[in-house]
Amino acid sequence: MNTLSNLSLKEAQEQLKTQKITSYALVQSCLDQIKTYDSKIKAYLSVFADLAIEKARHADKDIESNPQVFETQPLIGIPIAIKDNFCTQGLNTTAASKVLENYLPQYDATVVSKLKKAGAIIIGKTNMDAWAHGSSTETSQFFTTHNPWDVSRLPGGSSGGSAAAIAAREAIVAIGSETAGSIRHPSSWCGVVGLKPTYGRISRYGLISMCSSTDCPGPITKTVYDAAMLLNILAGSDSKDATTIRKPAENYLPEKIDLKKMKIGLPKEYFMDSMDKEVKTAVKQAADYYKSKGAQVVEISLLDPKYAVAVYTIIQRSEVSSNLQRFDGIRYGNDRKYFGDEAKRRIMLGTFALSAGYYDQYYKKAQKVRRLMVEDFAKVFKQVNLIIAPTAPVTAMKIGSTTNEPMFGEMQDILVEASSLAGLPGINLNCGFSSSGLPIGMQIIGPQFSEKLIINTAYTFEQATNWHTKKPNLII
Amino acid sequence: MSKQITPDEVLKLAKLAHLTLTEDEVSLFQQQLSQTLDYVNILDELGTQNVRPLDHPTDESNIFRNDISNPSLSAQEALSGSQDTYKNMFKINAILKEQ
Repeated sequence: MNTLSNLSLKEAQEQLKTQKITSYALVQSCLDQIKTYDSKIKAYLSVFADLAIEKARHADKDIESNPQVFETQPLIGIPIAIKDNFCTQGLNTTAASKVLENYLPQYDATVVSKLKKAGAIIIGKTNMDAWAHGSSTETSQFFTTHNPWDVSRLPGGSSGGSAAAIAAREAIVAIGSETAGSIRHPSSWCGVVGLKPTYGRISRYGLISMCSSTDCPGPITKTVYDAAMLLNILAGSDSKDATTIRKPAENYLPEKIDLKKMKIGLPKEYFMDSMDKEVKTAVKQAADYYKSKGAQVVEISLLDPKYAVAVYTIIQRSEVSSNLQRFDGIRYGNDRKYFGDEAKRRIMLGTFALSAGYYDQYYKKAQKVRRLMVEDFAKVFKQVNLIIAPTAPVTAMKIGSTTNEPMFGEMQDILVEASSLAGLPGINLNCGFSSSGLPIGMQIIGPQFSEKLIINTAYTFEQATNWHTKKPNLII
Repeated sequence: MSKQITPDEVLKLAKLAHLTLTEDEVSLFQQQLSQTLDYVNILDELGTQNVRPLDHPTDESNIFRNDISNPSLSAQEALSGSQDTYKNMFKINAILKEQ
């Protein structure tokens, strides 16, 4: 049985440190897993097997000659999967679009250079919705990723490849990006941990821009601890991204917290009638855990999330129409004929919302409601420390569910859009399974810069439960 | 009030956005864009008269730095992704016509 790829980042790092395992064996284990299962799951758009093996051999030599190397390179020898919208120098970066089918970036995204500097080995680039437009991977112009828990179902999106790769143990950790749910949503459907930090906490430099005022890179991992380890490496300001936060990053590794001092809010508008009952029950049971440990759990009220869907639709399309304007096929990539339907639809709506005569009615109106959403959260965070809610309204849906549903992504992300638009941090973690064996995710949302509190709170739950240790039947 | 997009508007938007659409796409997008605009009209339910528009979630203002040049890509590297170059330059179609 293939076991090494099951290791968490924390375990893999410990075993590499004590030289109980080699990076070569760890990388080979992930490659074996990809070889065995990825024809069914299709998490990866590209796999760099030879390069990863070569890097692993180097890492093993470095560890052997200098056991202290972990102090400067904490991720040395660790195979990592990267969403295909992060530029990787000399390695294909497509954003799952035919426009960039043959694009080889001349530079690394800051996220990628930080990971490389920390010693991580990029094992492959993962599938996604094209340009990160969607919540299914069905808008990928190459293929759809399948959910490892049930291959007839979607992994969620847009970082569906990264979430599926972690659920199928095809990498030790992965990187995703979120604009409004694209880390938390697929993590929920694939039963893994996805952390979306405060907007600006991690640099966007080299992340192919989608909706610049909400785009946010973040880790997708098997455990909360691993997400914190990656955040420690990735967080920080970057002179190449003026929107990064100047406030210094913290040490995010989980610590024990006194839940008796906590007040947690459950927004009643986030437990809608139309939602899957099993999802609501599982999340309420998770909230009961915190209550049983002394936390005060109260019902709160937030702006109806249907307004977030509308605001996001306008803001996102508008920024997309501007950001995707640069793809002209002149300096790199193919020309605009190669855009898929979803990208065309979004560019057109954004062009409309920004056009003379409609700007005030649509774009400016959406920006104003966006401020109302920020104020709404600020008011709630005067009453409670954190918010707990379901991440997605339903568990993973069948492949093909997005056909003729131009608002599919928005409706799936209804519970994560408001917090994304407000730039708030949030984490998804597994809190149970449906009767048909599909993972159910809960999200913990906090005020800006509350990553540490969110991580500690999530970690406490994870330590007390064993949901995160369950694996899809396919790979057992 | 719901806004119905006409086929002519779809074509105009496509032109502005430098997109080429097939006839089928024009009719599909006409219907889908109208449907989406219909949905976003729910924002009219919220009063926003004295609310300042929000550009940016952290409400940051301009970030300044000294204007010092740093090493950048070489011309060769910058041109490496282009399918058509001429003497260290990107080659594009003429945008002006000869008189």
